[in-house]
Amino acid sequence: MTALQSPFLRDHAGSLLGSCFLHGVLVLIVVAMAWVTPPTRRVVPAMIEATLVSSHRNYVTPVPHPAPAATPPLPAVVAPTPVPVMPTPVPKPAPKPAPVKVPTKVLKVPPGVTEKPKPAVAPKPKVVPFSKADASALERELRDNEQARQAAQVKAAQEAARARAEAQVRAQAAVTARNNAVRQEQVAGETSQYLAEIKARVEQAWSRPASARKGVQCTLEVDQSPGGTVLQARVINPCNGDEAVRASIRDAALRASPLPVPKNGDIFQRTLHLVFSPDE
Amino acid sequence: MNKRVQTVLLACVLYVAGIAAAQAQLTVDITKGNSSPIPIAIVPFSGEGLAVDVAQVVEGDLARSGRFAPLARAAQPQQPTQASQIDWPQWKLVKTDYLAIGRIRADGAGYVIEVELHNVLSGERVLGVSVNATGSGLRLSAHRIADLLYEKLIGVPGAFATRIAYVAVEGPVAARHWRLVVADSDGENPVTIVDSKQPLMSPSWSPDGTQLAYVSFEGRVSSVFVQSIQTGVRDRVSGRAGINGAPAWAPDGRRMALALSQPDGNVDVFVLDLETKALLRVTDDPAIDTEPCFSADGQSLYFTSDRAGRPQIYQIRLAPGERAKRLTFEGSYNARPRLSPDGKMLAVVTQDQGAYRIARVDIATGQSLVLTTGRLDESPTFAPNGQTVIYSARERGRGVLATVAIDSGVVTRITLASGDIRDPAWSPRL
Repeated sequence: MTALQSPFLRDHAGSLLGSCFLHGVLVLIVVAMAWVTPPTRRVVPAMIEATLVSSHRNYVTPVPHPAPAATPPLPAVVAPTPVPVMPTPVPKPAPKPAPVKVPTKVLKVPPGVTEKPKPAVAPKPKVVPFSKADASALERELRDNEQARQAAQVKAAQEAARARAEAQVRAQAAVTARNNAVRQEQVAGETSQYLAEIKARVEQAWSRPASARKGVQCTLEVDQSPGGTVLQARVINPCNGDEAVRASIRDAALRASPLPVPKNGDIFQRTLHLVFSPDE
Repeated sequence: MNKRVQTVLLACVLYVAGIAAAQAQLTVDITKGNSSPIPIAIVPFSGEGLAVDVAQVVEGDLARSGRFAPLARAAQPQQPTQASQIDWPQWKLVKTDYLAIGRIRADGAGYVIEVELHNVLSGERVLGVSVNATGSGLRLSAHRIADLLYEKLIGVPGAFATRIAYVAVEGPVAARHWRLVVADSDGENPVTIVDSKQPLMSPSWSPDGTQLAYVSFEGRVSSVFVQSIQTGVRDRVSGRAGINGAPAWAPDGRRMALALSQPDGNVDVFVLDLETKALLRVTDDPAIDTEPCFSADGQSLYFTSDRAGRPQIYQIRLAPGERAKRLTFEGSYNARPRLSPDGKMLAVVTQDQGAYRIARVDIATGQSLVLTTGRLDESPTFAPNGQTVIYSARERGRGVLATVAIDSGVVTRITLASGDIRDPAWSPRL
């Protein structure tokens, strides 16, 4: 778009920078808020992945995601989680892993003290005699296990929620981007038509003086009313045209008044820039 | 970076980009204008009733330039002579963009003419001038005022306070006579400086505007004379046997280019030193080389030659051993070159659709643009501001003078009393 070419940038560096700064501040605020919640290690349960894919598959750009092909090394706190599975869209953390028959683990046994032989071999080997102490230890262990399991469940739920929220943000971004693109395209079309109408009108109204030769370039800042009536026209420096050129371009804007108005009122701006640069 | 932050940033950037695109400063590039005349009104000045209608002279000048479209007096909604009297809405209603008002008052033996130019579009006064005039110089002062108005709005000085020379042929065949006339740029104040029973041709202004060179056939042979306009004193500068024609001054005023015939009848181009009378042969070609004119730097000549079969414009440097270079390739006939004041353009006679018309030729590119639409348009010369070309046209069997604006092609006739008018030449600035 010609509007973004250099004269434009030169003339509007100020307002552009201002705009960028303000939006930057906005961005910073959002980012800061994101930082406030402590960053968690990303542990994405595979099942959540499944949920994501199926429920958002209709989006054009399913924001790339490092799908952990191999299940991430779960902290071995929990026992047999259902394991990856294909597209099981169940967000719930799997059926209870029957706590009773979990006895097989043992992790926190200090190395060296190993008195339990290969623990996880078979669920069957109920060989060891059963003492009371043993019973309470087992009980405690089971309790601990249960707590850990619950904690893990909560954590998983939290992760799931977070991931969902995140996915939503990403999806939102994708939607916004797409909407922006569509809207921008439409606005660009309407804008270029509007600008072309103004151009035709002003060129018709510009009685080009003999001193307005190729190489002359002057920008006219035009204030207009919502109806297109030219209220004021100022020549912006630098302008390498002589007095006759300056007068002629002001006259052109005034003569062209009222200027065409855009069909889409959003495009309208009270201030226009007309860059006069004769091509011969 | 945290993935979430990235996502949020991405969203923000997209958002900002969308906003920025929607709110970017609207900029329109204007590359074309038009040369359509500026609507202007020259209201009669107060204190007129003099021998000269000053406002009318100004109006005529501006109209003839092709750059202005003056509003006829009958259509003027009011005739203010002071700024405070201007009824702006009325002038806007008649779509007049500029309004000139003025006052003339006696001042000793002469007059003072005050003129104001107002921009109706903006309501601003853009020019205020005061010009002194002698009793007999009212017309000249009016032309100077037109020059100032023209310069203010067109960006180059006007060329109204200048003069033109031309040849008028009058009388029945048996008693025909030729007059060399000098007049104001609008054809007024004609003064005959030579009256002859034999043909007069090709007047050419000296660069300082004080003398005219011309060809006279008095005594039935052609000679080139240089004559002082003021005193009438003249000097035959070339009277060789055969043809002595097409005089053109060098920019320094000390040399003159001529077309002279050889004993065998062949015509070539020469340069005459007016002080030493030394003659330098410039071309030597069996074809006809004629109608020379100097380049802006005085170092080369443009001329017409039919060496390629048909008349075309050539350029040759004034140095030994130089060869002529052809400049025009568009059209089968291009002749009688005259240089524009900026030295970048030639006005020529070109054959266009079976008619002879005036064209401008860009010297650098050779591109040609036909300006006029007559059947037999001849003898173009530029006004000293380069914006207009004066030439002769045929109208009902007789020659008339016309001007054409080089940008717009607007043609205006210069009305002269009578006679068959030809060979106009526009003076330099005086």
